[in-house]
Amino acid sequence: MPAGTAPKVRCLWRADDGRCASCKARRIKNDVLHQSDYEMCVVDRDYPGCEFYKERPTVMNKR
Amino acid sequence: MTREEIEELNRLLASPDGAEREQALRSLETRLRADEGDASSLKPLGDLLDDSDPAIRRLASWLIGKSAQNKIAGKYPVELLAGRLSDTDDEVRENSAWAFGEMAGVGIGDKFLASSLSNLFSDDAALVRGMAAWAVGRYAEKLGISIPHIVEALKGLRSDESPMVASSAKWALDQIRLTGKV
Repeated sequence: MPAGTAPKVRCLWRADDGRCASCKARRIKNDVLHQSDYEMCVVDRDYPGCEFYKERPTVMNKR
Repeated sequence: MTREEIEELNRLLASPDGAEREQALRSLETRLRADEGDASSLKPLGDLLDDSDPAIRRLASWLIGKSAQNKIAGKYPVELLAGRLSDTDDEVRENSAWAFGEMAGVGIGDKFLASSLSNLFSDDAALVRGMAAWAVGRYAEKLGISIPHIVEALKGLRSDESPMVASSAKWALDQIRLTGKV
């Protein structure tokens, strides 16, 4: 599967209530991109173009 | 967060044990995200900017930026952070540029630093170029600083291949125009 079409999993920076928890991304989204809902992340709309997107690392379960 | 807790955290930030230092950094991250913490951590954070582990330098530079975003007044490790603008790690350079942009909000910054930030306009990493453009925009917005050669460089960035970089450059130029120095 080409890298660009690979499904993305939940963003590292997305808080449980849907807000963006990346302080750097929020700055750019608010100041530069003038997004009125700069704190909120909508997966289909925001993940593909978000330069701050990071996939949440897989956590190994401890026995 | 009590004075004793902060002092203990600052002591662990200076621990010779790498795992202990990283744990203290993570703990401070949680505190600063909750808008806790104070200027006493800036010194140990500055000392960690030279750590051999890039993960430690990433956290330390981010925490300095977050402290400034929280409007913590104090003595920031400006010279040490300026040195990180040429770090070998992309995220450390990006974090350092972000931190300088946030520090402009607490009145810290000068023309020399603005020039140093503009050196990142040709960085290979788009996130670094974009953050540097945003930071010089903050220098104009918060400190009224703009330099002719930076303006020219920003004009070139408006056609950057990264939309975020181009948008950041346009925003920075708007901030400079608002200062009336263009």
